[in-house]
Amino acid sequence: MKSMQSSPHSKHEAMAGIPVPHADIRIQLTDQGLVRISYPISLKPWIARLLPNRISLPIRTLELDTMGSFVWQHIDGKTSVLELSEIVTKKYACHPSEAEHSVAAFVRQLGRRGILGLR
Amino acid sequence: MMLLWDGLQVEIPKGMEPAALDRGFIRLTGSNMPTVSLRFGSEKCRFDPHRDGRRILRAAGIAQEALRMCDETWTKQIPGDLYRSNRLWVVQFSESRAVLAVLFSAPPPAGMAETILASLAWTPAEAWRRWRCYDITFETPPDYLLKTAVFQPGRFLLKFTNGRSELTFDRLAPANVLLTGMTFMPWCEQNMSRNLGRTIEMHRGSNTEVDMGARPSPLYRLLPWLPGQSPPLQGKARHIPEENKILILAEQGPLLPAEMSSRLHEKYAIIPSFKT
Repeated sequence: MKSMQSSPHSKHEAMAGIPVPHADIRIQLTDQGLVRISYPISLKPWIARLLPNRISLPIRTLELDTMGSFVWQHIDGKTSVLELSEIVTKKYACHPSEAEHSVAAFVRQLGRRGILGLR
Repeated sequence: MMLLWDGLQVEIPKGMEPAALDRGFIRLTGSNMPTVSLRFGSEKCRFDPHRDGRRILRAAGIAQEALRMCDETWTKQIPGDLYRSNRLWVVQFSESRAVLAVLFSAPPPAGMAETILASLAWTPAEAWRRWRCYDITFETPPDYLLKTAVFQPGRFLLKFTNGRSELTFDRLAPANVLLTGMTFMPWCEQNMSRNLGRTIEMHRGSNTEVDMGARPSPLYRLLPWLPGQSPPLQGKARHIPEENKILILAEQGPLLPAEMSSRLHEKYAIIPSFKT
């Protein structure tokens, strides 16, 4: 799995990446059908190495909005960022490049929090 | 697809899209294609290919090249004179007195320069101008100049000014997410004052249309030129359910005559080709 910080060579490559949720997150659905993600805070690798294994990291919670929840429900480890943006375009009648930017920004945000990685 | 921006009409070659749109500037990008930058504006004085051409080449970082007149057959469609070097084309629109420089980041593939250049047309700021970018299309009255253009996912915001008058074109999407179960009128009441930064009076035009207005402050009526005041405002917000968009058009400052205002509202629309 590629780190989210390592930048792909082109937009085409970035859009072909497949977002994969990390194993140590927990998903809940709220009463409104929104996705709530509980995830351990991500540390810099050198800090993580210094910590003993038995220490568990603090957990944070993130509640996605309607669009975010919709995109999350389509992240299955097979669908690429480009395919996700096409799904968003169809569902919300967005302009294709607007959907691409939104989905790319969403994946980038979740990647920074250590919720997703790109394959 | 045809792009109409700040007076310029240009065909976007297949596989490309606008990456930057600003006053007198367009940048088109596409995967594995050279970036195309277009700079344009009215002529302040007559364009001289020798004197001004050298300046443009220097500004483009290709001072070693030279501009020469281009008179190939396909250039006959261009409403003006065309000059070119390897990567830079300059069009001098003969009737409307405007100049356009088209710079390619690398020598363009066959047909690309022709597609762009043969589609060009220019409308001066003194006439009604048509705009067509991404999924919106509208017109601006004579002498209204672009002040700001912001394209963010979910919100396109364009502001135009003419003296103390200001026009604001706002496009919000996706409407069903923004409204989240609310009908349009309560959504407008909750959001429009915040969007426009002042208290707005609203009247329901229909289920999908709301008329907005705000009276000028008493001080504005006496001293309209004083800064930081609330000028008169009128406008309309429309929910277009079939396109899942919300269009807001507001005029502030000295208001336009009724027939110009209705033309503005009539022409502000979503380009249906983007409907899926």
